[in-house]
Amino acid sequence: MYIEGSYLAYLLISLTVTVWVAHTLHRRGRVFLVDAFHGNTELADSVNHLLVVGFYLVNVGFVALALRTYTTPLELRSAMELVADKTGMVLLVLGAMHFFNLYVFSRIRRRTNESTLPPLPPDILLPPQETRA
Amino acid sequence: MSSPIRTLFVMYDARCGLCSAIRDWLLEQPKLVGLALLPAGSEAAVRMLRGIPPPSPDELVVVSDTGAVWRGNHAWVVVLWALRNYRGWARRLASPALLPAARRIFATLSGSRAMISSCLGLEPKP
Repeated sequence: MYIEGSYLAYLLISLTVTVWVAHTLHRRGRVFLVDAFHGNTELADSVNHLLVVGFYLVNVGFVALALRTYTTPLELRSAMELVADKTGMVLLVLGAMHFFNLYVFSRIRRRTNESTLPPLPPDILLPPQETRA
Repeated sequence: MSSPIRTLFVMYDARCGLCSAIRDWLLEQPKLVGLALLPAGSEAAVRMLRGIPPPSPDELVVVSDTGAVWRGNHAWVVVLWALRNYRGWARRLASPALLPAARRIFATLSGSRAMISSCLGLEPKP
């Protein structure tokens, strides 16, 4: 009886945290992307959505694969330990995925800035040349 | 958010053979940003630099169409940044680890360009 309870608790905790992290990523990551794409909100929203979809796929896939166990808990204590083991693993993977996503965000941002501006700041700023010709 | 750079105006020393050779090399390179090469001190160059003290003709100066001005060693890095095959190098040279060495190399090259030109037999070309 304990094993079904453990599975249910594991799924409930893992999926709730996945949804929460994805939601946070989606809401707070948008600002980064809007900046990275120079105010192109449509593109930023699209990339943001695609990133969250990928995040869900990887995490839910991992949660599903990590569900199976070969131990059979016979008392509440071992059932709780089993759930803690499994959710702990999922949380660590989620955390790693989350930091990876942050890295992707900052990398996109850096790259787009790099591609439009030279690597060194100018020594002097004059008015644009069109108006001076 | 600043507007992207489309053209860089490079003011080089037209009296030096090495500089003319580098100009010809630059013109052949695939570019990510337009490069316009102007002899330092020419009318167009002077007009572009209105408003700042005129740089010495010995100094490489790069001006973007957005009005940003780079002088001396940093101007070299910005010129490399305009070239498709050397943008990665420009970024590396601009990093804190390599910039001091890059400055020294460019300063040495720049300072001894008359000697290099005569050793290599490079004559200034129009």
